[in-house]
Amino acid sequence: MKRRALILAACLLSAGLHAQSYAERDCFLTADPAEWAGEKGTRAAWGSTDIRYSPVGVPARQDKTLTLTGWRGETVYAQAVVWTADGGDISFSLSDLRGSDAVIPAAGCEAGFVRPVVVDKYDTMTDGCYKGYMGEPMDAFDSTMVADIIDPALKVYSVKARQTRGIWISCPIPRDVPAGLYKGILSVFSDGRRIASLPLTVRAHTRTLPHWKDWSYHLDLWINPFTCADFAGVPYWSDAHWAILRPYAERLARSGQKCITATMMHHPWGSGTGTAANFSSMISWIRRADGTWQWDYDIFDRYVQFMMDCGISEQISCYSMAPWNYQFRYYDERTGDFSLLKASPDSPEYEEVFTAFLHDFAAHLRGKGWFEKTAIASDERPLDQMQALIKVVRKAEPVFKLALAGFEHLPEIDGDIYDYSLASYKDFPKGRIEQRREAGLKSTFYICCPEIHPNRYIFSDPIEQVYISYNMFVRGADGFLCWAVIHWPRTGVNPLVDGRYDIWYPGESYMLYPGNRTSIRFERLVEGIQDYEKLRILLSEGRSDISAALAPLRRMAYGPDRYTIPDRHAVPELIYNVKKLMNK
Amino acid sequence: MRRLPVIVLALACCMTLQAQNRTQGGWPTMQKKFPMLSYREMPSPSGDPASWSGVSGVKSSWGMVERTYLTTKVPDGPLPKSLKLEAWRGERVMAQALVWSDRLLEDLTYSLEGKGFTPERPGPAREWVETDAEPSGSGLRYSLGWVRNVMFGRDAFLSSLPGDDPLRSAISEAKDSLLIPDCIDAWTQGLSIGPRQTRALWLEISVPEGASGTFKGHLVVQSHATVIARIPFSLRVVEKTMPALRADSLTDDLLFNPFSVSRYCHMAEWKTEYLTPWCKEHFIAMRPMLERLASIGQTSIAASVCYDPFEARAEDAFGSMVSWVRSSDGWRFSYDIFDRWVDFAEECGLGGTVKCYGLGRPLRYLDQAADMVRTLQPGDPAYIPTMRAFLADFKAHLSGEAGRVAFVLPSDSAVSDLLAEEVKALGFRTVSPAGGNFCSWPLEPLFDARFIPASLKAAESQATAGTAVISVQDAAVSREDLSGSSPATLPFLLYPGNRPSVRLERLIMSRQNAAR
Repeated sequence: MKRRALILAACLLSAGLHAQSYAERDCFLTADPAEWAGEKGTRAAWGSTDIRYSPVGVPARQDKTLTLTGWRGETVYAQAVVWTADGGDISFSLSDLRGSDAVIPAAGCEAGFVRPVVVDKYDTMTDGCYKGYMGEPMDAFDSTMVADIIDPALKVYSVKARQTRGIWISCPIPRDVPAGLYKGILSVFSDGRRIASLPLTVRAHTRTLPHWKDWSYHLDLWINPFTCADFAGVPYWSDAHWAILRPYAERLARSGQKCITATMMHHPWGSGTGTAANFSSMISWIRRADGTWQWDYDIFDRYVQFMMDCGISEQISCYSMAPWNYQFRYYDERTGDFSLLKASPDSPEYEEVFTAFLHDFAAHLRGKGWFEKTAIASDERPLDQMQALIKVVRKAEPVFKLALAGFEHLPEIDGDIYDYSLASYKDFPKGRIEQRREAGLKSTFYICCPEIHPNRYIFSDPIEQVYISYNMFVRGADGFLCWAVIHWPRTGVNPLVDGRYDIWYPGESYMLYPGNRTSIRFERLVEGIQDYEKLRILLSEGRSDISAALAPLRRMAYGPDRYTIPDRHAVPELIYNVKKLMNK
Repeated sequence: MRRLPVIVLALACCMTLQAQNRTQGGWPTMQKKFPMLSYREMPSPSGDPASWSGVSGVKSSWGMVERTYLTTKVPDGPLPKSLKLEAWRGERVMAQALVWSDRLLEDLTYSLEGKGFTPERPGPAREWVETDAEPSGSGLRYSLGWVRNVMFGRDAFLSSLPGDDPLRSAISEAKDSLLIPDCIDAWTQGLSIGPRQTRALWLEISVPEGASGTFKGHLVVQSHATVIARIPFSLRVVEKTMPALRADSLTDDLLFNPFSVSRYCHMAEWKTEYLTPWCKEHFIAMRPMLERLASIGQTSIAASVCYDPFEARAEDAFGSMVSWVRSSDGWRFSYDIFDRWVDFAEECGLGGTVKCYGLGRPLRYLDQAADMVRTLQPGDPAYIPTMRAFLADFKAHLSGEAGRVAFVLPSDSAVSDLLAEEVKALGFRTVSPAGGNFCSWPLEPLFDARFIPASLKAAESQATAGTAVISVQDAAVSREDLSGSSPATLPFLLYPGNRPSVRLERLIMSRQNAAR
């Protein structure tokens, strides 16, 4: 009992440490005195969720009231903005939103200051995949600070003179409240004195969004659970580690995440390519003294079960049978140390080892009742390697599902891939997505580094993350894949403070921050996913007005430059037009 | 003189190509890593012209087996005029022949002529090379080879010499490392001698059970196919049978490191730099070596229960024969290797106490959850409970055989006393460590037999590479550092390729004398 109490204490302590407050980098941006000339004291107003407010700028538009409309079961989003000419300790409180017969409790909303983080400043965006590969030093770019982190843990924000911060509110409209208007107040205080009472009205639509469990959107954001343990300095799979993971997993589940990112070998993305490699294995590979293999699924089982308990249960994507360096690490009982099996999928050694593994793994999965959910997942592997891999899988376990995030549509293997995610700038052949859907196969697109717009970089326009799901919808995709939602790449650098990274644009590998903090990017991605679900429902009801409103977005999706949005400044208006129709 | 540029060029090529292959002492071997069947030894200097002034032309003679004849010295002391050996059945008799010359002799080959003698190569493994069929019948089996120079720490070598060996005074003033003719190499022909150098040949003759009578033969040495030495000998078989040899006590036993063998062996056709321990080829390589060990009276089997029990040897750790895996639900031990090793050693003729090393040392294990190899230090509070869990599990695994297993506890571990109690509580014994080293090797043992601590290596690598004697005198460290403090760092008795050392041959002679 004593021991259990100790473990519990340690666990709470670690979880606490993980969520604790942090000091952001002192703002090094300079306020423009002219802009602040007429400003006095501290003011607050409703702003826009499309804007990352400059930490030193006076907001252009300042609204006194705000009305948000959403279906019941949908989360709606608001951003207020506070700016202070003299500086002050800013705090806020959100009242419950009261309707005639019911209440939307403030406690159900997630509200927090939007905090800036240091990022590289790019005068022109180029293909982000080449960052760091041209030998430019970390300090090759000027730095700036961009508002992205939503931090509910920060209750009082000491904001210096001539600075500005956002306050973000993500408000889930309960499914069981009656349609109608719900009114509340966002009170903003400076040095304990109320400086603004901002009325907020939420209009709950008569329609109800299906529960997230029933969303069709195939959302596959990769999760690196190891990065969470590393960041907190807790041992992998300790009680503290699980405690850290739980809120992230639950957040992802209710955001529509369908896939469990599982690893079945060490360093699926190779070793030595930055810390992208730091996915360890959830399956332990042991080579016995007699040369036979033994796999241990204990951690895999616990991880999958944990994710399922948190609500992510549709698919288990196992990386990888095709790691980027074709090296498989195993513990060799004969040497008492790790060894590397270097084998490409077309080699006899590979076939021998993986045939044995697949039999063993499949039997294990069947025993757990997970076989049907499991996909052997590969990332960006060329055709010949995929064909060799598929041959091995089909021979060993003919019905094993396969998943691929590929930068090329490969017709030769299309039918073999259950879950095929294609680089967003490529297309499936016309009609193929529909054929695949009829055959029970998933087709999605993914965004990584070559896309300039839309993307999910820390400095990307917030509307782009909403646009992603509109893009998926108009192209007929089943959903979206992105590496990664949690993978903090720099050892010893807190992503809450500094998002710069030598080989990627900031934010390439995470949308969620330490301490279960969300971001403008993640919240708006979820907004788009909700819209995708609403579009799916409404179009199935034959809403031609919406279909017509989507037409420009459809044209936009197939523009001449597939790495950007042709007229991205038109995007917000197009999206808000559709939203208006959906909430009519 | 005209040769010099060629040699310099060749050396330069070798150095660039193979400079990475260095001995424990940092000496570039200038050839492929871990040679097996043939190799070029480190260059020996010529003797001092003044002391060689009395020598003219090529000389040869039998020498004394008890004596070590340095390459640079004219053989001194009494040299037998003739060699008349006597041997019991089952005995192995040794003889040492000497060839010395004031000029360069190249392409030297040796052979033994005589009726009733059958060559027996000491093979690394019979499977490795085409050899004649297994010798049979009542003929005498012999093995003949050059005694090749190896770098020794002076004090470590002195400690292996008998107290009255005249070599003692000769080398006690030498630098702290020197080349000693020690490795008996029956694989390499075509050596060169001189100018002003002495080279020994070692002859070992085994007398089988059924042999009787007197055998006569000649040892012949040729240079470029011209006979330069032809020295006669005879052997009379005494009608008595030599009993099986035995080590005098358990502390007289010798450490056999199977991991050294797997690390060293890398036959080209096996395509790997090292053999994976416990693969088929590893066992093939070990068999003749273990049989040799058993034939000189060893019964005990050295085993390890965790990684690197001697903690001294970055390049040649004794691996673990027990697999330690920490899974989510506790410890999982696997004894597959331990069992196979003990079974195999028994097959090769060792059947005594299994001496387990490693308790009290840092414990390396697989942390399955983290998928990492971790080390549990003896000072950790979890260490003793972990060992207790292991000992109980091990005991259950051994069941009826537990009485044969004993533990060697390190004298310098803070937890040895606690472990001794745990060991006793489970009915195991504790025993002393091995008193000698059979085949636990440093890097490139054919060239350099020294176990050099890391602290010395840096100093050594600064020394001139390629000279005949590399000294670490200037490093201002104790000479004891070169003499070894654990069984694994004592001068080893058997070289790669199953080549015996002169020291091993003398040990056999003394055990035979004791048996007689």
